[in-house]
Formats: sequence, structure tokens, C-alpha cells
Amino acid sequence: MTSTDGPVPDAATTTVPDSASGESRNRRSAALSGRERIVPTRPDWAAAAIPAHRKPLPILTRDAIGQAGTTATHTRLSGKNRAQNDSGWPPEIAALRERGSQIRRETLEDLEGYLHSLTEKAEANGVVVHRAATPEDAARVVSRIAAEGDVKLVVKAKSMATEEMHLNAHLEGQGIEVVETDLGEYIVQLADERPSHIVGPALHKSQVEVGALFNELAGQQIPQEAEDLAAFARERLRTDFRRADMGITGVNFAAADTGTLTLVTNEGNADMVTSQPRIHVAVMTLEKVIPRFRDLAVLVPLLCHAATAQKLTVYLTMLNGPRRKDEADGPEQLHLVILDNGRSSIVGGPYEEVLACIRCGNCQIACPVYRTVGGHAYGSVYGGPIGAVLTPLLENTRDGADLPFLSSLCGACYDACPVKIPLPDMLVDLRADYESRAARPRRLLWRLWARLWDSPVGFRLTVIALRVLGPLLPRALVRLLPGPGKGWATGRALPAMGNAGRFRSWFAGRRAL
Amino acid sequence: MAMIDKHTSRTRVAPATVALFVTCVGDLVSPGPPRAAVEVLEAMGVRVEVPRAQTCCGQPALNSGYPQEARILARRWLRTFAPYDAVVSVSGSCTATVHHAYPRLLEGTERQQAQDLAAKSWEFTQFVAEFGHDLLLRLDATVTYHDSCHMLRTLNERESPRTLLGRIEGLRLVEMSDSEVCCGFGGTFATKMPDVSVTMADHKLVNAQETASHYLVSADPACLMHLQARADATRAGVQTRHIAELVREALVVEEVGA
Amino acid sequence: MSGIDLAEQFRAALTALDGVAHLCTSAAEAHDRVVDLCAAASVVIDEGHPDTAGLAERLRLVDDPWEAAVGVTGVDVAVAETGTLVLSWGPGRRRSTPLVPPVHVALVPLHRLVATYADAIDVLAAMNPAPSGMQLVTGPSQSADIEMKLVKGVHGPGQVHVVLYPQPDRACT
Repeated sequence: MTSTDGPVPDAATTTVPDSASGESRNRRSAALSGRERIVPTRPDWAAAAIPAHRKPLPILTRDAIGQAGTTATHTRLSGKNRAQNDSGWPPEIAALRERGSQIRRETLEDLEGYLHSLTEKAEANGVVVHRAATPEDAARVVSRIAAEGDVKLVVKAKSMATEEMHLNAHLEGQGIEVVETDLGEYIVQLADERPSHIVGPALHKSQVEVGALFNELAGQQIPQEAEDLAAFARERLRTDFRRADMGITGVNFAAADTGTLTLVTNEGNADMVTSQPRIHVAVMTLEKVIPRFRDLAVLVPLLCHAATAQKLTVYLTMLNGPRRKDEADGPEQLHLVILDNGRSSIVGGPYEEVLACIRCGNCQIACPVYRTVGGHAYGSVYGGPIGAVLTPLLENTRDGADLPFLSSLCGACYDACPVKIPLPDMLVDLRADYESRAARPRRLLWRLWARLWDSPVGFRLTVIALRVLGPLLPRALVRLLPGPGKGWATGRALPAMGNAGRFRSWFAGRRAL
Repeated sequence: MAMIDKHTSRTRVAPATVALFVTCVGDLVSPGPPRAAVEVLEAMGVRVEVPRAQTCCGQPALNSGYPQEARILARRWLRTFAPYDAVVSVSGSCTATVHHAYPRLLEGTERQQAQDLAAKSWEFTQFVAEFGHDLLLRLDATVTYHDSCHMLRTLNERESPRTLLGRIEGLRLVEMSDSEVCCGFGGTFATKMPDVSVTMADHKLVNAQETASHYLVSADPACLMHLQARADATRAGVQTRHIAELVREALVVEEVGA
Repeated sequence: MSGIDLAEQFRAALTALDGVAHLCTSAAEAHDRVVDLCAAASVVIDEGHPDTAGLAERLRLVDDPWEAAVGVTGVDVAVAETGTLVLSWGPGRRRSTPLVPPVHVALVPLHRLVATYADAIDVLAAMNPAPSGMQLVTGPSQSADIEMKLVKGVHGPGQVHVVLYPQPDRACT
């Protein structure tokens, strides 16, 4: 039975008066202590703060493929994909998938109504509910809560909604330390990177890289086995759970009939973050609401299977409200921030079903493009198939309207989606939306091409042109042609150019016999 | 997406005549697979017609973000092939376009026409697996099979190619790792995101090489064109073959009087 | 299913997740087992739960969960199919007890076993008044965030012991 409280690792701790108790106590993070020693080695497009301007996708993805570690990540993710998806949905999960898909769409039929009910119930339970239209509004709400609560140190459990808000940077600008406590999030935070996957933020990192990172943080060599690295993180983060003034989490599901907020984790960090600090702020995007508490019987096992191939994760944390009068622990304040960021505009439109998403991350694992380039190469908060659909639809995204083209339309994401979002069809439709805003010359060219091939004579002309010109054109010249020529020739040999029309001539000759 | 039930025939008797859907890839770059398909279908006793008016199913336009242009070509396709009892194509993705994309592109009576015609539209291996039980097939070779995406997921078709390969006496099928993972072609994706596309091809080629097969076989000429082009550029030592050409090569011609 | 069958199913599920299930033949034996597991270590215990009655005086208690080596709790229900413990908060039933100390010991009389996770959700849905919160724990804490290698005890308890025992005067659900 080991001692529970880890040693304070760094002499440079600051004691700050606690306005509540008046005592001086240590309110600096132990987990982040020493982070100034870390020199980020990530490319700028993987940075925690998404750069203002993104390179064009063909260049960005080329850079990503050339990164050391991308091939290893591909191998690792391919194994995970095989293990998780090759045998399809087991019968009992397939049944949950049917029912879960229905429940998620039922929510969308009256999203505002369910949110209203959720708000009423949560407020009756003692939760303070805030609605935020934009990520900036949401970040301001959290800032205000922190300022009013004299918050110096925040511990966070993983939340993609807070990534949309760039919340950490916002709070750090206020002089507040924010510590990510999910082990994968902690790792990327130290490396100054964005999470690369919805469920496994550090899937792109090898054990060696993590070990080197922790060595830098510690300022010394520490044991490099996975258990040792985890123990190192555990010691430091446990200190912070104890010291923190405020905990911030996401919400996996919010039940409209009871106001219950459910968090799904394996580590127990969400339990720590929601029980130890005196203030808890839960952030959700508005489509996380579900009609009934009992729907958790379907949605939780479905999420756990799709996300991590587990029956259930180790911890399911269900919160109704803050600590009650006769309870010995728990937060004094519980806040729920409901973020819109353009989602209410998606309801009722052709892409509404994207809001059925339960953030399992399985589409990312199933996507061969995602596995090949990694999550950072999408240049956005959400990557992979869900990111390619959601990013163009959200309001605060700068680049990203072209993400639907970062897909070979193979359809694996649909098969992997536990709530049957028709992602491939949506990618095709979003491409049409994008092209409808394209320059006139390009749109005209496509129209001309369609008209040409709408006539057998026009098509025949194409065949003849290719048959005649193909062998004549020097192959070097074809390689230089912008668009298709150059694009094809990047790493591929040119196909034989003289075969146009050969089939029909052969067939005609055969029929003549 | 496996939105479609596996295509089977109610009658189990081959139609007397089929229309061959050549596809733009077949007309412009790869005449081998449609040619082989004609020979195999004729060996089955089926009469093959090649409607002159056909051009392209419109998939390139649709996937590039030009649904109106795709609709123009879809309507041509429907007019061209409507008179026939069956349509057979050597491209899984083109057949999948007819089955899945046409009903999405069209409305009202046109959508109904599309659905009716889709019900008569077959991908080559589906057709031969369903109706070609009497073919005598023999080939001494080892092959590995790549499941092209739209055939696998849109047409829900994993079995027919393997059934067909299984009927070839002397043929050994060695499954490669990740046979169901996309080869990276993806239509215009291949030229828009070339580095991603060829890296995905490399993964596929490595898996194929590990099976030590003579041929990497698939039912989509576009996938094969992309994989072969990459293999040639990197000297990967992989030889691709369309399944129609493999089956044609395996056709045993009974000698008169033997 | 009988209580014993459910207990066996629970044990199999929990063991597969590296938790430890102790099947005892009586409440007295169960209490003795808990005392053994705690040895001489510092303990926090949820005295607000009926199933822990009589244990506190046999253990070396501390007030602060952060000073404790073991946290001892009861449960509301336990799920046989998955090896899950279902706890709710209230007076004398703290969030920190099953979470903060590195070892968690839970007492589960057989009548508190339900067959499936869905059954547990039904039980929670029916709680009236609803508690301020609930936690469902399925085995020791774990993470696979370091190159997908599974490690235990980040951040919740790395060891979970569940002591199951019959209570003759209580019928099984």
C-alpha cells in the first residue's frame, strides 16, 4: 500500500493567499512545474494554438507524411483499426447501434425543447446553466466564473468543446494555470500540441517520445517503462487534483429528463476533477443532450464499444448537482456551459445528422487517410471524417472549408459510425457546396466537359484526341500539365497513352465477323 | 456504405442479352478488362451488346462537387441502358454510382427509373458468380485480392469475387493484410492529394508483396491503374490484373472431339 | 439467476479486468476479509452506508482520504455481467473514498447484485430523491495513452477488491 501524495518536484513553488481560507498555501501546478525546460519539437501546424493561416492541404499533408513518426503512427493505428473494426458490429452492439441511431435523431427533432428541459432540471438541482452562442462567449463565461472564484489553478478532464473555445489559452491569458489531467492530453499539453484524436489525444506519440518529454520536464532522466512514465504523471497530477481551485470537464451525455451529466473515462481523472476542487465547470456543445436518463443504457455501451472496444469504461461519472449540505466532499458550485458555435443552424438542414455524433473517434481510426497523415494534418480542432464534415459547418473555423476533399470517399467511416451518420454522402455534398463558390472559369470548364460527354460525338472526339495526341505528347510535357497531369505524375508512372478507343474498335471488329 | 442488400437474381437464369457498360476508364485507358468481360460473358452463352450512345456514369463530376453536371450524364446513362434486361460493368465503383448515387441525384419518376435500372445493373463478378456456374476455369497461379471500396461497401459485395476465384481450378488465393483498406485512388483525390494517394498505394503494395502472389487482383480498373502506376514508378515488383482478365485467361476451351 | 450464479459471473467479469473478487460465506467472514485486506494501513470508510456497520472500529481510520492507503465503501448495486460497482453520494458516502486512496475495497452483499448494466440504469433512474451524483466503477483505473500500452492506476485506484457475501435475511433481486 503506497503513500498517496507525491513529492513536490520543484523548489520554485509559490504560495499564494487563499481568499477563502486566508491561509497561504501552494496554488501552483506540480504537473506543469518545469515545463519551461521543454523545447517544442512539433511543426507549427500541430501546435496547440492553431496557426492563423494554414498551408494548402496537398502541401500540409505532404509535410505530415514526411514527419518522423507518421509511419509508426500509421502502423499503430492500422492495428487498432483491424482489432476494433475488422469483424464488424457484434449482434448485441448492432442492436444498440440501431436504437442509438434512433435516439440521437429523436433528440434533433426537438433540440431546443430538450435543452429547455435539461436547463430546468439542472437548475432545480442547483446547477448554474449558461448558454453561449460563440466560443468567445463561452470562454468569457468561464473566465468570469474563475475570476469571481479567485481561481489560480484549474484541472481539466478532456473536452473537445473546450478545444473549440481555445479555453486553455484564454484562461492562461488571465494568469490562471490550466492542467490537462487525461494522460494523453497532459502529454500533448507538455509538447505544446493539439490533441490528434478525439479519444486518444496522444495516439501519434511513441513511448520513446513521451519518455523524452517527461525527462525534459523533470530536468533529469526518469525510468522509461510505460508503467514508470504513467506513475510519474500520476504523482504530479494527484498533487494538482488536491491543489486546484476549479475543475473543468466536458460532458458525454446530458439527460433532459433528470438534468444528469454523464462523463465516460477510464482513468478516473473526471471523477477527481469533479470531486476535489471547489468549483466545477462542465462544458458541452448543445447536441450532447439526450431525451432520457434511461437512454444511457443504450448510449454508454455503444460509445464504449465504438471508442475503445470495451463493454464499459472503468468510470462512469454521473452528476446531478453540487455538493449537498450534509455531504463531506464535492464542489460547492457546479456550472454547465452549453455552447452552440453554429450548431443550431445545422439543425433542420441537410447536414443535421452530423449532430448525432457521440464523439467516439472510431471514424478517425477507420479512415485510411487519417491513419496515413495523422490528425494534425487536418489543421483544425476536429480531424478525420467527422472533422472534414463538421469543420466547414461550424462558425468559428477559419480554414477548413476544403477539408471534404481530404478523403478518398472509401466509406469506411460510415461502417464504423455507431450512430450511422452518412459521412461519405455528406462529404460529397459539402464538395458541391464548396465548388458552388468556386471561380467561374472552373465551374464553366466542368459544365463544358459534361456537355461534351453528354453527346456521343463529343465523347468520340475525346477518344480520338487522346488516341492521336497521347502517344505524340512527350511524357515529360504531360507531367508538367497543371492539375491532373502533374498530380498524377507525382510518384506514379503515366499509363499507356495510346489505348483510347481500342475497346470499341475491337468490339466492332468482332461483331463484324 | 453497405446501404444496399447484396445483389442477387430472382430467377437464377442468365438473361439472354446484356448491355456492357464500358466506362470512361475502359474507353480511354484500360480496354483490357471490358474486352475480357465480353469474352467471358460470351463463353457463358450470353449475347453482349455495347450501346454506342454510352459515355460516362458521371462519378468524376459528382465526387468533384459538380452534381448538376453529374445529373446530365446520369440522365444520358439511364436513357442509354433503359432498353436492356441487364447491364454489366467491369467497374465496381461505376456500378455503385448507379445504385447509390443516381437515386440521390434524381427525384420523382427519374429516381424511380434509376432504381428500376439499378436493379438490373450488375458488376461483372456479381453477374458471373450468380450465373456462370457452368464455366470451366483453370489457372495455375497465386493471387491476392484487393477489395475496392465502392464494391465492398456500397454494393455490399465481398463474396462474389472470392466465389468466382474459388471456381478457378489450380488457383490459390492468399489474402493480404488490410485487403479492405482503400488503395488511395479516390478519383480526383489521386491528383488533388497526390502524396497521400501514393502513400496509401505504397501501403497496399507492401501488403500485396508480402503474399508473394503472381497477381494483385481487383474488380476496379481505376484502382489497378493507380496501383500499377505506383508499382512501376517505385519498381515494387507487383503485377496487377483485373479479375475479368484473370477469368478470361482461365477459360478452358473444350476442344472439339477431345 | 441465483445470487451465487450472479456472484460467480461478477467474479469472472471483474477478474478479467484485473480486479479481485472475494466470495465469502457470511457477513462476518466478509468483515474479517476486509480487515485483512486493510492490514495495518490507514483507511477511510463510508460510515454512512449500512453495509459497513461495525467495521470502522476494527480499522485504522484517518479523516483525510489523501492520507489513506485504502478506501472502504458499500455499493448501491453491483452488476454481474460487467463486474461494475454502482455507488451514490450522500451523508457519510464520499466521492473521495473509492477514488483517492490507491486501493478500493467494496462490500457487496449478494442481494445487491443485478444481472445487467441496463438493470443498474433502471435502479439509478428509480432513485427518489435522486442523489447529488453516482459513480459506476468497473475494475481498476487504467490508461492506454502511452503508445496504446495498458497501465493501471492512473488516476483512480490501481487495485479494486470486491468482497461478496450472502445475507440470509435478504432475498436476492
